[in-house]
Amino acid sequence: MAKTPEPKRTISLKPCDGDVIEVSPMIAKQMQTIQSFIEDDSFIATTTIIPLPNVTAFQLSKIIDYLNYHSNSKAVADNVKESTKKFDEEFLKELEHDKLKELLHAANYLNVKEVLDFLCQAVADLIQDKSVKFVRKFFGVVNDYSVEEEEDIRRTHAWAFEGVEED
Amino acid sequence: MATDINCLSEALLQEILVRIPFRFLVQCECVSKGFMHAISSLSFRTMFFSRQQSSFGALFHFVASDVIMLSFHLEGPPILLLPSPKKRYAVSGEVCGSSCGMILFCDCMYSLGRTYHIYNPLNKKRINIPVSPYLVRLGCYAVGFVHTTDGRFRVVLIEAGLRTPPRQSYKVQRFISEQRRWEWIPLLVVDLNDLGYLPQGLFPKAFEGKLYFMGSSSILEYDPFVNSYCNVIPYPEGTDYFRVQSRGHFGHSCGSLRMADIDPDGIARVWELQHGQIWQLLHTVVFPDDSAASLMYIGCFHPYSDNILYMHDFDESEGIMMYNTNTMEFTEVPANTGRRVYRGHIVLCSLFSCFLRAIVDSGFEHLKANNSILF
Repeated sequence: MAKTPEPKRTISLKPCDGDVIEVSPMIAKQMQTIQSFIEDDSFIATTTIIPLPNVTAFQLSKIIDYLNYHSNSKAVADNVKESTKKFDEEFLKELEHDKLKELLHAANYLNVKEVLDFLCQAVADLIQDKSVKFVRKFFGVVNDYSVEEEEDIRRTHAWAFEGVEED
Repeated sequence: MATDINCLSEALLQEILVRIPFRFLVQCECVSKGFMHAISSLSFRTMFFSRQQSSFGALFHFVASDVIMLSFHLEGPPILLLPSPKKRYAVSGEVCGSSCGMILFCDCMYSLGRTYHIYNPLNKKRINIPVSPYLVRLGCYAVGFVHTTDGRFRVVLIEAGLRTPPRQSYKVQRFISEQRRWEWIPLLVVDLNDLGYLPQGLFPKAFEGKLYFMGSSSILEYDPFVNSYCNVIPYPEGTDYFRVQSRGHFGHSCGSLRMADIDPDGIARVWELQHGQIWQLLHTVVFPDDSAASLMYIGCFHPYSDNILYMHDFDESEGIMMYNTNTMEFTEVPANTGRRVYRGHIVLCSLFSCFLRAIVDSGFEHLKANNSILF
């Protein structure tokens, strides 16, 4: 195969509520869902626009930001740890609970592992050591136990609830 | 947007839950039936277990001579492993120490100091330890084992037994995992009279990288990762080796060393070691009159609760009782017939079955699945 493939510039992604966003193939590659589009025979990089009906422009740009930052910082030396941490903190600071959950869905839909891992950890950090009520509220889950059933679980696992304050 | 933001798929929820500490995970079972389902599924157990296993090791505590309690370092309830009272097995190995989730087995009598191996019940890997070249014929040893979270370990043999009078200097045989060799070093006991002799066949406590050997007059604290460092700690005032050894317990709970005894009047006392030298009396427990506690033994402390003592009778025929010093109530630990698996303690169940499988697989049948309990 002497012929070198045409250098591919960008992949066009169309979020549900905004204009097309161009991303580098490097970034697109990390989104499994996009990757499967690209691998499809009918995909023509220069013309095809990939529609993303489940992802907003805000979410898409957040995800791209994250990937961009982390793929760049990886290339640099180890001492970027601090700044990476700072970036991650800033990244989360801008997200309210609902936004965080939405972004989690978007990352899940795009199947971008690095962001998904990061967000799952963020949610885990957020909910842990909060009350059961907080968890219900956070996930919008309705308690479908009867009072007795819940009491029963709490009794069975009394050790886990020791010293836990209910709000 | 079509998807309801609150409608997380179970897989996504599990991705989050797999990252939370075990104690909180158990609390999350209360959130809803959906949460319970997500947490209880077998695939989640495996996922949680394999992920969190690496972030903190398990602890093993001896409750009685042949009962091991297993618990995670900072999370979760303990598990008791009991041998069958009916069957006696042709035991091909004896548990003679545990640290950081690893178990030290001996292929023959442990106090002879001959052939040991270290067993990781989680990945079933076995590390054989060569026979020490410094063994003395007819020697008797107290055997210590410390394993660190970064994978280094020491096996320590100190001459022991009544026939070994107190000396200024003990010859300590120490196996160094990094170099895979034994070394023979002198251990200077500064305050000789205080130690007494080291009884053989007692497993020292491994705690925070150090070993604590119960001597007949004091406790010998030895850091096998540092050359020749040792320290002598007296017993708490009002008790002694024999009392602690007969019906009390020396172990740890809530991140500190604890000692308990039961005095001749049937009153139990629990001390905590503070600043490495001072025993602070934590509890004085007068058991209710009508309880069988006057005949019971303190088997173990709860690793994370100040107020719980595990107690058993002489031959454990009555099972294990849990005594809460706050409520002053005894709770029977469920009977050990059949596999009793409680909802929620999934990680431990899976760790538990892993452990048992490992043990059964390798021929250590004295810890059998259907004769064990967990709670």
